[in-house]
Amino acid sequence: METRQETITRKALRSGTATGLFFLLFYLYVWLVVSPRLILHGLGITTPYYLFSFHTGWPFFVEHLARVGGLVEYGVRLLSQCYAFGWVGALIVTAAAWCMGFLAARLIRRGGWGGGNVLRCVPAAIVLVMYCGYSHPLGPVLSLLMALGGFALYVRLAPEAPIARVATLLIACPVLYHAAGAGSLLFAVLVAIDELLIGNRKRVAAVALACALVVPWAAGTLPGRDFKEAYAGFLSDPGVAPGRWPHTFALYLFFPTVLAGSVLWGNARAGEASPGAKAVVPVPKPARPPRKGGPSPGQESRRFPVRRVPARAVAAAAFFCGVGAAAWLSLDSRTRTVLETDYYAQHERWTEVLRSADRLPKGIYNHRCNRNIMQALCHTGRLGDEMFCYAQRGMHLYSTPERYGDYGSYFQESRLFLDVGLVNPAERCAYESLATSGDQPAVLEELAIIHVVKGEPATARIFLHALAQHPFYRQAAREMLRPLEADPALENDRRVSRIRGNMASRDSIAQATSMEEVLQVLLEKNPHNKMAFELLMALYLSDGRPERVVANLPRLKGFSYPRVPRHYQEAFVVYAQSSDRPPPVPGFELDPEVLRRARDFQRITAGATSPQEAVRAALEAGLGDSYFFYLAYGVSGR
Amino acid sequence: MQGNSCPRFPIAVAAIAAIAAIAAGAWWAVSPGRPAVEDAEAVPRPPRISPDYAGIVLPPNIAPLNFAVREDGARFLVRMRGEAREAIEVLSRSPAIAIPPRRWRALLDSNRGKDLRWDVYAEAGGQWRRYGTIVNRVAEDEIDPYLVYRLIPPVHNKYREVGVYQRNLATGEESAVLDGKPLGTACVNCHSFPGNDPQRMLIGIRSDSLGKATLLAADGRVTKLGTPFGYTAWHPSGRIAAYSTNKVRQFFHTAGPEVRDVVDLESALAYFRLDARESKRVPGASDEQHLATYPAWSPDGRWLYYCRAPLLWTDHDAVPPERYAEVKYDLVRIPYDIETDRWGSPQTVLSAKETGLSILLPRVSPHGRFLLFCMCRYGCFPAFQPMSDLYMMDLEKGTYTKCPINSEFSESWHSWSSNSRWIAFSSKRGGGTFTRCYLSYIDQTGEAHKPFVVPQADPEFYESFLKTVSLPELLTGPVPVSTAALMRAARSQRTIPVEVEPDSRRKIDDTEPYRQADR
Repeated sequence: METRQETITRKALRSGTATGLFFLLFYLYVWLVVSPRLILHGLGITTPYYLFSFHTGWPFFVEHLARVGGLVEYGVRLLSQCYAFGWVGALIVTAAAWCMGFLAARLIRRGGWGGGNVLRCVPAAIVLVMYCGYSHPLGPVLSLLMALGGFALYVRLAPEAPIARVATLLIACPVLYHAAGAGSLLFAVLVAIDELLIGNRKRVAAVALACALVVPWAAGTLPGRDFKEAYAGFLSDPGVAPGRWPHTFALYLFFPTVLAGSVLWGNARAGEASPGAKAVVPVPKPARPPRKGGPSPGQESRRFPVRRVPARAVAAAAFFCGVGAAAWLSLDSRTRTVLETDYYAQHERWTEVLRSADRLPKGIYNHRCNRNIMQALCHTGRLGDEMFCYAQRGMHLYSTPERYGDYGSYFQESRLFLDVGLVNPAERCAYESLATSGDQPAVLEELAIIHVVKGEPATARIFLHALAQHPFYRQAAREMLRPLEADPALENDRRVSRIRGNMASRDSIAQATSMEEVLQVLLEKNPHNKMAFELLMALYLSDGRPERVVANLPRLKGFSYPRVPRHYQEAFVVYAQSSDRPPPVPGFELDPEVLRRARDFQRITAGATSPQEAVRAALEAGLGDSYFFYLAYGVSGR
Repeated sequence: MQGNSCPRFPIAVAAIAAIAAIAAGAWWAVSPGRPAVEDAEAVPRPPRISPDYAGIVLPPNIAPLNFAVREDGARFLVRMRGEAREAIEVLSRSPAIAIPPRRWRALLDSNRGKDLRWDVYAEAGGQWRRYGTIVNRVAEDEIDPYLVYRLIPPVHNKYREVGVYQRNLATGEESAVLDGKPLGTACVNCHSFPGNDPQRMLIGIRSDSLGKATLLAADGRVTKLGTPFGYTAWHPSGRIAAYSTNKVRQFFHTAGPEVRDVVDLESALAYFRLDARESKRVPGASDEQHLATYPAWSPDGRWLYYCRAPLLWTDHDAVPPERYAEVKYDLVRIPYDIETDRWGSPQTVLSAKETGLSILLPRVSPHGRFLLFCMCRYGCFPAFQPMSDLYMMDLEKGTYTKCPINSEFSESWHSWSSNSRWIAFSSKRGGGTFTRCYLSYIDQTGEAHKPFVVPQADPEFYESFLKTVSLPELLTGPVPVSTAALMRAARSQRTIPVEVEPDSRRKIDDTEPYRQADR
């Protein structure tokens, strides 16, 4: 016969194993599926980067210490940088989730309920769902942990005398508020519940609630903070996408609900056991917590040995499955692909950009992805052949409409401009990015390069010194500063030389100059600027100007194409069909396959009874990636 | 979570005390003692230091000029000595030299009008080297103790962080006068004061949520005026403020050193009467054939100086207009009698035809002898013109000279100290992108002496500072109204309407080319 102690040990072991397994799976999912690296990359795209920017050094820390919520903000900024290493980022998320679970379990026990092994994992599940949506709720989570930690300390260390407890509150509330901001108000709420329902100290509870009202007013709104921000800033944390704000609310609501619920549940059970008993439960003993149903553990297991154990196991299994399903279903795979594509593009891993872009759902157009794809196609020499294999919706390459709400589009535009040799437009966009989104290390590096290219090494140095203040970039900054000291023009740097060789020297006014003219100026400066040529041809193709494509075909001989790219041939065919006398292009031969596809497309469109039918038939015939299809319907894609 | 007492408290206290004692011991152990540098090898050149504080005239009431030694070395010793008072010695393992503030102040105070010699030693490979002595001079004349300026990143079109700050030049303490961020990313701009007096201030605000307004701080109260002012100049009496109304547009160059450029499609001058709360146009400086901007009063309040150029286009919406690069402003002045509120006829003081350059930003010295201004190749915005330089005009003689303090980059936004002995100005030297505020001594003949950048506690501060410092204004004291009061007024729905004469309302709509960051 198993002793009571053995039963408890066995259950604790089982519970610990289940919890351990849960958090192990949690960690692996965050690391390998969600990928914290992409969450860090998304800062500056889905949300402004300056909210998460971190600088090494004492002044940055002191600056944060001085402001409300600054300590947590500092922590968030610092820990966010660690997301650059996926496994570390996942470890941080998992540790935060585990801490919440641990503190939730203590709350449950504090409330007098011995169960709750599944319940303690609920906060982790909420956080996982938030991360699956590529939110970054570290701010609200750390504030929450501060509040819960504060509450745990209060319960453990607060003196017994009510007046001393009030004094503790009057010190703890402002301190916590200053350190953790509005999220710390949860501390006062938990204390109020605890004092009211467990300690039966109504006056102390009232003081706790008063603190929750007064402290944000005194420390927040009086010095000029927004009312909403002062009281509920955690609910609209910038790291969390607005669609996930209810999750933050649920997370914060969970803990007071659990505390109050477990106390009331215990009271109700106690009331059932002895109807005349007082409604408020005394402070429970942790060694022997009150259990559901009244009977002793031994009796319980004797009376319901078969029914209860599987019920718990089933509940746990159901919870596991539920969390797994929620994680899977809430994973925003489209955002993941967009961020992954952009990550590879920023690191100039062009083949991986295209491989990642292939995972985008069919027919989905994303301006950020499109820009990366175009740049990757240029670098892999496939733009003239495969541009229309991907979804095209006209050219949003050189500007991003405001409605996209993309905080990082300026930087992306800057990368493209610099790549092709448009140094001043690249500079403008990089500065716009700096002003609007913040001092992302990649932007600082880009601005340093731009100023080196322009022969302004002193300004470049300022950016590199600023870069050196970012953790993990000190070495990179030094490696760029060192050659700059020896050779301020960086004459021997391949990238700098390439950009400088392409850089436009004839000035024009950006607002009064079309992209076509700008690209032509680049080709004027360097007729071998293949990227400028391909982007010019892409511009003509997407603008529906095949005659301009044909007119520029003679330029092909300046580049080392093994054959005439497919889309250019298609444009030639379109032009030839509409023109009585297509111009002869020396050395230019049409691929029979292109001619066959042109005939097929003509036949399909002529035979279709409606445009919809024509589109369907052309797509079925594999013509969706042709220029014919794009020209006829304004869209493209395999 | 059971509550219980905490018996570990004394142990914790003892542990903290032990850690503190160990830290103190370690600090003492690694602190360098005074080395023997008498046998130091002499290097026949002055040391390279950053910022460049060599050969300057400095005010006797300036904060420590902390600097970094740009020479190889494992230890550095700097000895600062004057004729009077004992020397200051700073020994450091780092090239950053932090001068003790109290001793620095005493040294400056006792060496007014005298030379200050800095001997810099560096220890490399166990051998101390002594570099050539840096000789600076402490001026007799103090600089106004406060500097108000705008901090802003190099904005091209959108902005997020714009703030007006004040700095105590004697202590280096900086505080916000008005920060735009808590105001919904508002643009705060064009702060102006009568003379160097902080008791009255006008400051512009602009944001999507708060609209365009001007905050008037006077007699400890802040009022929100319901009209934006452009470049503003207070009459010395403090009773009226002349301001420009500009239809500013920004555009970008696809090649060349400076990407940004600015044009005033229209501009005119108006003036605001505080007593009547009304704005009127300045007759002769608000006609449709000319652009008029940058008002500046003479210290006696009888002349309003400004810049005027013929309007070369009829299309007031094209950006940029076709002949934007031909616009050159003349320096003009117009008489005014504040008692009768009468204006005279404009007189050209210096014409662009004569100089071949566009004349901008006139500022008359408080004693009325000199007029400091900018000249650049064309246009109205010297900060975006790399060749913008400072020029000094002697108003008694009617002559002008190029100041010897210019660099190859843009100099602009200058301000006089109330004793006419110091100027603060913005300069892009040190790269061409970031403006920094420099101070320069002006002697009795109007000669400007080698400028130096406003000192910071961290000598390497400017090496990574990604903001520009513009519109420096020297003041005799701190701005007396609090940031909170200014913010409350800015957020207030209570706006004092300003009666604007119809003719002067025409150009008031756009005083700033930038836009709030919204993505």
